[in-house]
Amino acid sequence: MIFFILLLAVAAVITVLAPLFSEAPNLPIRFAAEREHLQRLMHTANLSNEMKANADRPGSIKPSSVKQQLREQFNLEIDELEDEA
Amino acid sequence: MPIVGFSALIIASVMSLYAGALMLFACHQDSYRFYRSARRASQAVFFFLSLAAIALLVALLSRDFTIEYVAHYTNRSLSLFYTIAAFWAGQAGSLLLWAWLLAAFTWWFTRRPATEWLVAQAVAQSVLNFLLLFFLYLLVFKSNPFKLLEFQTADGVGLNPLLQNPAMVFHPPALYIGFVAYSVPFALTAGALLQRLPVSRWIDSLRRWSLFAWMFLTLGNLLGMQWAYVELGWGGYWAWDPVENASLLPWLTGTAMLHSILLHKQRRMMPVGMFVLVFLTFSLTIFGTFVTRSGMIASVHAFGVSNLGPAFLLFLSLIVLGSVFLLLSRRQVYKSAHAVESWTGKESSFLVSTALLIALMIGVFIGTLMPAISEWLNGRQINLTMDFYNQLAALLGPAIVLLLGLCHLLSWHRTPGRQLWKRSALPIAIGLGVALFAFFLSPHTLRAKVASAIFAFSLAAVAITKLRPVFSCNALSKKGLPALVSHIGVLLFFIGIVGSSSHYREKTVSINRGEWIDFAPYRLNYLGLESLEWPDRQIDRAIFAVYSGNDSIGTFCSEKQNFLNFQPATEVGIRTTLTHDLYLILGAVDKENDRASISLLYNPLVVWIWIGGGMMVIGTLASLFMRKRSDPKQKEEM
Repeated sequence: MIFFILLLAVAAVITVLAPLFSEAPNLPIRFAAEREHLQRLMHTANLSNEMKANADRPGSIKPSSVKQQLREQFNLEIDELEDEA
Repeated sequence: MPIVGFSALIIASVMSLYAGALMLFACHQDSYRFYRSARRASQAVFFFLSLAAIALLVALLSRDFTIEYVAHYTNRSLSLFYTIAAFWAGQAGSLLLWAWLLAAFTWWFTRRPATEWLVAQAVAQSVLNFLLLFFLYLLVFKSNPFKLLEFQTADGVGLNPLLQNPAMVFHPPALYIGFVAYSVPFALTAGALLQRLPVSRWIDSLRRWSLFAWMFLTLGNLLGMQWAYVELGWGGYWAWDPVENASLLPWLTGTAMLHSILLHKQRRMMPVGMFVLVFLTFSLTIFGTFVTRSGMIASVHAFGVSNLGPAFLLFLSLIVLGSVFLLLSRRQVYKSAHAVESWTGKESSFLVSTALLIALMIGVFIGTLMPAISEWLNGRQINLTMDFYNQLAALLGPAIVLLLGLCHLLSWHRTPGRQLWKRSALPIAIGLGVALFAFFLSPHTLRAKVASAIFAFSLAAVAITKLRPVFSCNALSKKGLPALVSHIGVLLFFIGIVGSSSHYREKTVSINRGEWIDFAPYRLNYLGLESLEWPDRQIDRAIFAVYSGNDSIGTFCSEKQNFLNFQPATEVGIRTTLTHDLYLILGAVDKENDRASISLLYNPLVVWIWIGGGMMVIGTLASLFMRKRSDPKQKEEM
């Protein structure tokens, strides 16, 4: 029992402290949520094969236009986000 | 198992302290790394508290009598159902339930980072972790549920038989969910105020959590009333006991808070008033816990004398001081967008009803504290009787119900006189009709007659206003349906209270086997006593054949139960109909002569209290599922 609880405690400490030593950029907390939101948008824009295949159809959303929109809206580096996505 | 549970509590305490402090630091440093680490720590707290809760549950189910709590609240003959209820039957177990619920709500509240108010959410999470830390401190240092018994025992004491009732199994958890859930609006408001965040960004979250907490607090109070009615055997459901009052106080301010949130959503009015109600409601939940656990005020529902009083008092003081500081420092930031334009506007009815609810709260609060205040002032305890509370409720309750009906007839801003007359003509006519009927044909008291007329007016106003779309568009407005159900529930609840408190009849007789009693519309034939021997109790059961006119409606019984380890208890016999309850209470018994003393009560309209209360809960549940978002155009306005 003691071994079990010690094991759990060590695992919890490692899990909790891991973000402090992670290699991901230490983004400001104020942009963190927007960043996650952007990543989801980029994921949709870049990885949707269907959207790419139908890109020429009238009325469809263009990945490039989404990027442009994000650039204007948030003034962030989109390339970095694309890498993470 | 005790070592797993206690270790889990210690780890949860450390994690909670780390999460609370680091989250504030993350906000100060604007660091996403610290934020993520603190977030994980907060989730770990929930994990370890769940582990501690499972450890206690396993110990209870396996009858691990090496643990003091298990030995005190279970025994080998206790059923599975009530063994689970033993989890929250005592001080330490209920504190663990409280802490686990708080950890669960913290996890649920922060499970998704809020896109538009992440920092405020992070501060709120920190506040929640510090609140949790207090309860963990109590569990580790003051009231440890895993404390080992100093001697060995083959069997435990068992659960108090008064607590062995289905309503009592669900009543404490429902009440605790309501109490604990009010921590989230408190923490959210504190976080948002510290960040000077516009109300429109977080008011939807505030509304949902407030509805959720209010729904469970209502349910908890209803189940408590049901338990008292069935189990305590005095014929009533609300005795204005200090502990009962302690759960009513946050319910009153929580009701006012819900309406202030609605007022702000509709008209962006009185934000500071809304914050005051949020802080007041949370403070009253902690006050209620203090009353129940400090032993300061004697009550049949309290946990008895304990050493938790000073800690709770300090905690409550910190909360009140912090709330006052936040309100004073941010009152200039949050301004009301509109003022009350006219007394014929819906806004004014909201404000007056809030004032009445607060007045009722203050009256009940002073009454509850009166024994302590009087002892402090002149060394002598003065206990206010039920009459004080009944007079207070009889004065303010009908006024609140009248406003409930009136509010539905009013428009926002102002209501032109002609329009108001057009809308209110029918409800007034119905109210007057009921008043005339009551005055000339009913034997009720004057107060009951006035209350009946107010009930009829408000019911007509609510029904006509909400059902008008049915006649004009052939469809009931889906948006207003939950409010319709809740408000009709409030009215039915009200009429149930008026009926049962103003027109009950009582008769106490001593009868021999075979004798008849005439009571209200009933005739009862006493069939005799039956004695039963159970492993843990001896039961004397008086059996009656009940007739309505010449028609038999069955046999009813009432019992006296004598226990080995506990005080004797009475099991009442109840026959419930839509118009009244027949309530049988067995008094003294003479087994040799087969003679019994029996009290009979005729309680009118009691069932409408349960129906009305159920409708309030169902209406609130429906409101929770029908999400209403703020207008995005209002986003940046305070």
